[in-house]
Amino acid sequence: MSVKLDLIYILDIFFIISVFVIETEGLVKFFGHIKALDDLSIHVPEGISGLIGPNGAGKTTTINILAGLVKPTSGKARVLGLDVWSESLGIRRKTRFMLEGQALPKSVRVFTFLNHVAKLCGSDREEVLKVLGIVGLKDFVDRRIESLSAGMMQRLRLAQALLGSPELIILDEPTANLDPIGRVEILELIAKMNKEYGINFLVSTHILPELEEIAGWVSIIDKGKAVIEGKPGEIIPRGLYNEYRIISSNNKRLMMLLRERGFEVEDKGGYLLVKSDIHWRLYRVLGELEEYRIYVYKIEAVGTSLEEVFRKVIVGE
Amino acid sequence: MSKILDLLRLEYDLTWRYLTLGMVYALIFIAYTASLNVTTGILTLYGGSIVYLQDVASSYMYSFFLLIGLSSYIYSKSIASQISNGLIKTILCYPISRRRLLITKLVTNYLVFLPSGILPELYLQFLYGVDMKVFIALILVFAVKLLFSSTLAILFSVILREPLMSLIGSMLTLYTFEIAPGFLWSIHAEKIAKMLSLNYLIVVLYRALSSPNFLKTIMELDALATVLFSIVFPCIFFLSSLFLFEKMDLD
Repeated sequence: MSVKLDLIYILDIFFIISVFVIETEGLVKFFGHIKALDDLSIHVPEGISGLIGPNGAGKTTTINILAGLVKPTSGKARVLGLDVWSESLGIRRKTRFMLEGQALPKSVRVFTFLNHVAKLCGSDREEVLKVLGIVGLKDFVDRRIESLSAGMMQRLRLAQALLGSPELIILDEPTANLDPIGRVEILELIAKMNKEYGINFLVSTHILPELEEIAGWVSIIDKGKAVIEGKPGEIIPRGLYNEYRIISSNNKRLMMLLRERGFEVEDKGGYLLVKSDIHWRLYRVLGELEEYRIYVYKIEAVGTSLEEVFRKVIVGE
Repeated sequence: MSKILDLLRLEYDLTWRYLTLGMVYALIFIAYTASLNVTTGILTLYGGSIVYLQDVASSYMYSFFLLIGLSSYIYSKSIASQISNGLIKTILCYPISRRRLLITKLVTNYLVFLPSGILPELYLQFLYGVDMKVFIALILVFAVKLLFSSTLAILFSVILREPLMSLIGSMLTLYTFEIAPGFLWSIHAEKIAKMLSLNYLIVVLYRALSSPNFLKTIMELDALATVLFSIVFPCIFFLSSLFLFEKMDLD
């Protein structure tokens, strides 16, 4: 009986370790009197997963805890089977992080910074050059970081997260500050790295449609609690968000060009309402339109606020 | 070992630029060279007599106030600034323990500052051929003072996490430690004044180095408390910093 129970226990442990790359149980975090996480329990399997929630949901606090930067008030969190606080160094040997608005040493040159990171992560300059090529910063190696644009800095943040052959990469808002084509490039890169090198990703974002194409798992959190977890196709019907509001430097010309490419577009006076089943397709087309010197100031998917997601998906309206 | 060197190089690149380094060295060198007039005057007149050694030390250490300011600035830049602007978070996302990071910051900046105090003393030695025991005593006390100011600046940076406040806090505290012995002497609290006076340590070290029995001389001079003070306080400051830094949330 005892042997049988032990075997079940061992199998259980094996199952947990092999299936979930990240697991939190009853995670609570107080900052003074503010409760940032309230009994958060999420389970992230191998592959590409999304951590989704509106601003203030607790995504960044969760990632800071996973990185060992913040100590949870109570509860447990494990990354690759290791405890986030007592075994944090072990986690950081196998995991890379790209934090939201991650600070970079501004006076240091791009290559020098990445070379330092490579050495700290047990990598070498060959990998630095390779990663610079992957993220499209090869022509900026001698530039000081302070001279990079916001988009290029975001690529640099991603580059440092790719160094050192990690098993898992945790990215907090990786597409922030990027133009539509840049967003697609980053998301495609994530998919490629997962496919070719088997790297697991946890991508935190508040833009749900961005992950529809690449994520195999989604954990939605709000007010510090897990709301729902599962495969995106199962919990969120595909094409739920197929309308986009776009404000550009020349709405009339953009409307004409989009119609030529088969999109349904309405001029709503001040903005365009575009129908597209696939988020990425629209982004790619907008990227291709750069040659017409039309600048997209704002693009937002209609109905993608988490409140609307909850209403449509969870409450079932 | 190579990982430690990599971390030292990273810390150097993050904190120092050639311009900053050049300015720090130039300012310290000018201050020390200016104080040489007084120092060498005393040394030439009295030939390094023990009676006047404390005067030598005091005049020589005037420029240490400048070093206090600069080292406090560098540590607040290296620690408090990096905590407030989030660069520490970036570094701690790599496989580096918090303890190792803080030790690296202390060691790197200490090693960068140390020659800035030794070089002018070598210059003094080259020009006037000061007694070697005086020379060693001055360098040792400079090293101790630098360690004292460095660890205190680190403690303030870790507690306050804000560069300007930690700079002001550590400078005021160090200034208090500098002027406290003089005040205590004036109110006839000689024993405590001796203990707190790192300049008195120069006299102690000179005498101890001149005598055949180093430890016995220190005991005879009633200077054990001074020696312990100069060693124990930096240790307390740094261990407290490590304890706080390892526990703190970097949100």
